[in-house]
Amino acid sequence: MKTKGLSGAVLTAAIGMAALSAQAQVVVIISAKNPISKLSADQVSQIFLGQAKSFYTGGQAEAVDQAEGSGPRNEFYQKVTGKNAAQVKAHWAKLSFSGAAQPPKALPDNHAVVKLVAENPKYIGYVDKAAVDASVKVVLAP
Amino acid sequence: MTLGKYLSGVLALLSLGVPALAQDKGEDFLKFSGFGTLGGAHSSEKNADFTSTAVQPDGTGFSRVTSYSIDKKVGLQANAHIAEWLSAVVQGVSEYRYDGTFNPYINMAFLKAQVLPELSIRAGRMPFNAYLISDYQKVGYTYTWVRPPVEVYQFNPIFNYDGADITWQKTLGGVAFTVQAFAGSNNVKLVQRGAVTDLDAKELVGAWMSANHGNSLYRIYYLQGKLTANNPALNVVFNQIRNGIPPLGLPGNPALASQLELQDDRVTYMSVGYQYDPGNWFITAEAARNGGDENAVIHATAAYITGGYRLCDWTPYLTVAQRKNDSPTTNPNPIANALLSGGNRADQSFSVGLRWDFMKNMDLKIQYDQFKNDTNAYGALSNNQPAFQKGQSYSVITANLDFVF
Repeated sequence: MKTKGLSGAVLTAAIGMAALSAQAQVVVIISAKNPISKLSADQVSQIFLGQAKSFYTGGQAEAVDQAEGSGPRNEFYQKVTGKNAAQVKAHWAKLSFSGAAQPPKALPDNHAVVKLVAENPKYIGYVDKAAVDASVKVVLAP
Repeated sequence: MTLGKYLSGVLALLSLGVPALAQDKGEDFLKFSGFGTLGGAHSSEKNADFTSTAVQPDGTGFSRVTSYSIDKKVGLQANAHIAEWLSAVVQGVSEYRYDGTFNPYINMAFLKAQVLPELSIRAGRMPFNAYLISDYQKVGYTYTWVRPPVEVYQFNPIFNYDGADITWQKTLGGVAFTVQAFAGSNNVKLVQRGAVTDLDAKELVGAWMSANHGNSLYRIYYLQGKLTANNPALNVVFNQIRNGIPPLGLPGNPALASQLELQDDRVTYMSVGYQYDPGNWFITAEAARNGGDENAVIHATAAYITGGYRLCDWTPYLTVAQRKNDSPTTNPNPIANALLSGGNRADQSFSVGLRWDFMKNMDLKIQYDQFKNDTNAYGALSNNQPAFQKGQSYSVITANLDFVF
């Protein structure tokens, strides 16, 4: 009984840690064809908030989002831009209703983001680390 | 009528772009969105009206104990992604207008061409952005206050202009710069002294630049143009100054009348803004100045600073604001003196408020403002009644609901 209870606790803790680490594994990706190897949180933030239209190398940059309310999206914005979902919403309402810019297109899941980002060096996205394959490269692990 | 005409024209324009739709995967051709505000405001000053903008004919205080009109508005927007490089935006807004109606009007309708990744050109009707947040000041959801500080924002009646702009966005050394130059014109109506003023702004040319660095945003803006105002009630006043009132022994002064009239008068707007927002808290500060030829419009400098703290879905905030005159509000001529002193809007205010993001896409706000008009000044008030006393304090309390969709 006692060992069972203990292993149950260990298991619960392990699941908890797994959940935590899974939550902490969002990474920023660009196409493997893009020559850039590393970006700072500021640089990524500027592209995702519509303040920068190009990478520091001069190449065109276009952000790709995940679905509103999804885990990777909330984690990415909180960690990289310091904004929560409501703040990001208000930020894009400013740019959209002033006619300045539209929010990035949102794709349904990690695989859709990897697939699109791999295609064209202009794209930049964020996905769970586990979804990364050779077609893309990680430029920031916040 | 005008709205229908505009919309059908724009839709015809958009339909030209339909064949391009299939070329760009993942991008919706047409996207609809909207925003709005509902709420009520109450002012303690019973002998004058408090309004949100200079174009509103009445507000809370004298005309209504509680006004449900001064902040109420709804906006609808269509964004068309015509091609990878070409897009269009149309925005219609219904809000409390100079004629006391909520008749909708077109606030934006433009085509945008992204000619280079860092360079875009727009033509059509664009939002007027003299101040830090003026191009989205109709969207309450985007800011913390119930309305932008009136010291800076209330006196500008121009919300959009017809013309063209060119925008350059570039990141240099970690700083994201945006530079825009624009030119255009605008015609707007507002109520002054119980009569409609037809305000014609032309040869508007200006430029602004903003810089985003880390959590900071800096912005600087300059505009100049020519203003002509026509108001039957004010024309009577100008004619009295020009011809004098002989029975009262007041001589005519044509030079003074011409100086005070707005006839192709040069006008300038300048503003500097700053925002710092590391996430849990923020400050916003702005200073603005209107100048140019000396006429019946008093030149003024206005500024405010707001600070807020975010506690989960709650954002308490504080604002202090001030407006000071830069041109004379008195004149030896008694008629000109009455006219100029009537435009004395110097005041200071202190506001405290709370924003609650109770739902995705919606917020509730409550704000208390304490205003102190300068000696001999009307401050932000209009529709002053005979019993109104200048230089007094008053308070305004507002509760608003904002939404976007």
